[in-house]
Amino acid sequence: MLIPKKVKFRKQQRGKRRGLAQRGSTLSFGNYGLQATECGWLSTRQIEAARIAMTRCIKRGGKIWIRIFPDKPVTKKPAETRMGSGKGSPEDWVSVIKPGRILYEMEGVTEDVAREAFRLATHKISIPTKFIKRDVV
Amino acid sequence: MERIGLTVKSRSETGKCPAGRLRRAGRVPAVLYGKEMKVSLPLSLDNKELEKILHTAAGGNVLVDLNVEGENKTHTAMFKDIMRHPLKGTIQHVDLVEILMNKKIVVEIPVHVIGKAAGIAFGGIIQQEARTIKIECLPAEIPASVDADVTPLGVGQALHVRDIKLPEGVRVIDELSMTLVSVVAPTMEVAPKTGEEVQAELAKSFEVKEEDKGKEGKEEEKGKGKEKK
Repeated sequence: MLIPKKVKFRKQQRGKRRGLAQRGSTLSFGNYGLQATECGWLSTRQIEAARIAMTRCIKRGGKIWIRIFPDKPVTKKPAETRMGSGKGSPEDWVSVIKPGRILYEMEGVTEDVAREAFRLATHKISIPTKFIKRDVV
Repeated sequence: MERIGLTVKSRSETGKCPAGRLRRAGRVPAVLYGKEMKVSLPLSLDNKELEKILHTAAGGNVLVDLNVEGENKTHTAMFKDIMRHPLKGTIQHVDLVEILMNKKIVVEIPVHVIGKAAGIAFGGIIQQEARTIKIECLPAEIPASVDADVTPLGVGQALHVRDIKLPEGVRVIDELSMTLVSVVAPTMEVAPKTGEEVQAELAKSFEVKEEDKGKEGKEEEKGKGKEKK
């Protein structure tokens, strides 16, 4: 699972998700990719679940790159707790996704296999995505 | 190398709003500059024509003869940078650089992998490390692409820039030891962790170390002191 080794501050503010992805919006490693079309947060568990789904589908045939890293801590208050008395405790790590961001890349498989693997991966992800491939030119 | 003629309009307005108006009208804002030009020239190109030009055999290294409307001069130029929309993929802006046909230039040409590597039969996966190589040559001698024959490669072997045969008059700028294609062994799938293991790993990542605890305590005290003042 992707988790930061060390962080300067344990808790962060939620922040905004305005605009489009300015970085990581083009294919850098593989021939096929999964691109986010809307914004959202992806947790470390979701990223891992999607990776496992893809790896099982391609069966040792290709290579997968994860282009995102969950570096933002998310806090939660315990159940049935009254409001107030400070911020909750950190529960999860998320990656902030903006439209256009490439989430995964794949190489070494045919287009059909890549499409099927990414289709299975999208079921583990809470953000609408689209399949993209590298231009031959 | 192909040379394509293109009629372009010069634009007087620059900035975000005029550029947006141009894009909505089916044109692409562009700029032409070069060492021989004293000032850069803001232009606008037809989007459909531009896409057509970029999808020829020469790819992004196409030579364009620009006829600026209202000017008698023709500029020979190449695409320096093409800015695309991160989501739609439409062309947002183009940088054109004026070139001289008798002066060598540095360009990137695509590497095409050909053949079937011997290592694939043993379960290897072809991994293309570099998709382009940087070369120096005259504008008229730019090769459309370079072929990388991977047929003799076994698992764990790689093809480097020094193994590539280039036409005469073309010099490689990249390091000769740079890897282009390698055949790697497939990675073993690691058994997924159970829910409890995941929970434990996450909880461990949020634990505060003893050294950090001391620091945090001091910071909190400082903060409280300030509030009292």
